[in-house]
Amino acid sequence: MAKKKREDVEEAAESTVEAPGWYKGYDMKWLKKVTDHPDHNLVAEYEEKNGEIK
Amino acid sequence: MGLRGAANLLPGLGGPLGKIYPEHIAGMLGLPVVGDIYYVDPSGGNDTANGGTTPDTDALKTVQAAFDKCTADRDDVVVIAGRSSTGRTSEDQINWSKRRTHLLGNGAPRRINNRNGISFNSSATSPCFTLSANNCIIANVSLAQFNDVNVLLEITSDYNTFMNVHFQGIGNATTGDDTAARAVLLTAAEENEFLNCTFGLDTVARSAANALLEQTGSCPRNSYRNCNFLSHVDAAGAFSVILSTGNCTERHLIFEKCMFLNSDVGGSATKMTVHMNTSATSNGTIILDHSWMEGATDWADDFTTLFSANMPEVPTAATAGIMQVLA
Repeated sequence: MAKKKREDVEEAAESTVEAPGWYKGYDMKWLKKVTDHPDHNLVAEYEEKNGEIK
Repeated sequence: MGLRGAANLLPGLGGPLGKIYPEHIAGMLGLPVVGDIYYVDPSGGNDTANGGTTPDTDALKTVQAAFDKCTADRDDVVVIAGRSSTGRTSEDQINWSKRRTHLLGNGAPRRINNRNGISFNSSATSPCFTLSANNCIIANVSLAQFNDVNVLLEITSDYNTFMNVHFQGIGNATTGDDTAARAVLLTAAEENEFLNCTFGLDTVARSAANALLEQTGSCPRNSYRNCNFLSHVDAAGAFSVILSTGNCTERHLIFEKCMFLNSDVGGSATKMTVHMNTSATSNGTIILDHSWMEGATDWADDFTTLFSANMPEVPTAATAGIMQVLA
């Protein structure tokens, strides 16, 4: 398994224009529900920038 | 309803206060008889203190612990009877290596996001779940990996049946950027059947040339019926299916009433170039029977082995963006 560094992914994600509701490769509405996801912390990051996901 | 079989031999099982009897489990699996049954409760179970003999007070916590108690060739059954929202266990990798041993989720029968199942943790290595035994039934569960682990399920065996299973692989954005990622991988596996299953997630982007499903090695006569393949890609080169190595569709491979979907309508995902990475040397036909696709420019990059049956054309340009004709 070729693991990529998180920084590389973030850089790639930031270079891509994502659709509304998407952030760093995730549908944030879905990620908010999946509380055991290892990247669940991105929800707080997203909400701080964009407001609460409803 | 009169109680039969083990319920007569063991009065405790047949008592009016009992909830689940062996014949009920057998009926859910479509088997006239089953062997021992081991219950798993992901939230309330305990692998150390309990034996798994009842769904409430004696349930185990992990499928691995229940599987360890099973005996091959007895039609033993592991039942996940969750009491939490997701009903998912947390497991290291599992090697399901006992022939005629079955896994069943106790919950609403459904094709997507079954609320009983297995979630593999960050300690799991790829593949998270290896099915290396023949003649097994996996039914009514979700298998999930949200950590950065490339392959969710690898099947190296034959004659297995999956019913109502959601393969939630490539559930991590980093994995989605890895060409080696697969939700399901069949390696020299033959005559496996997938009924009413969902492959993949359309909530995590994939940007590399990976796939929800790959068959590799000699894989004769596998079939997928009433299955959905879900993608959200942000690069055109991602695939739904990879069938590119010699003999990987030996004799035939059937997709019957399957949908291959990439959520590009509405401007979110990127349109895929093709859903299927195919080869002229796969040594068998790929049969699309009453199946549809959306979100890709075309079905496949090599049409040599691709055949269609019962594939009506989309009549107007207005609907062509939603579903598309074969070639």
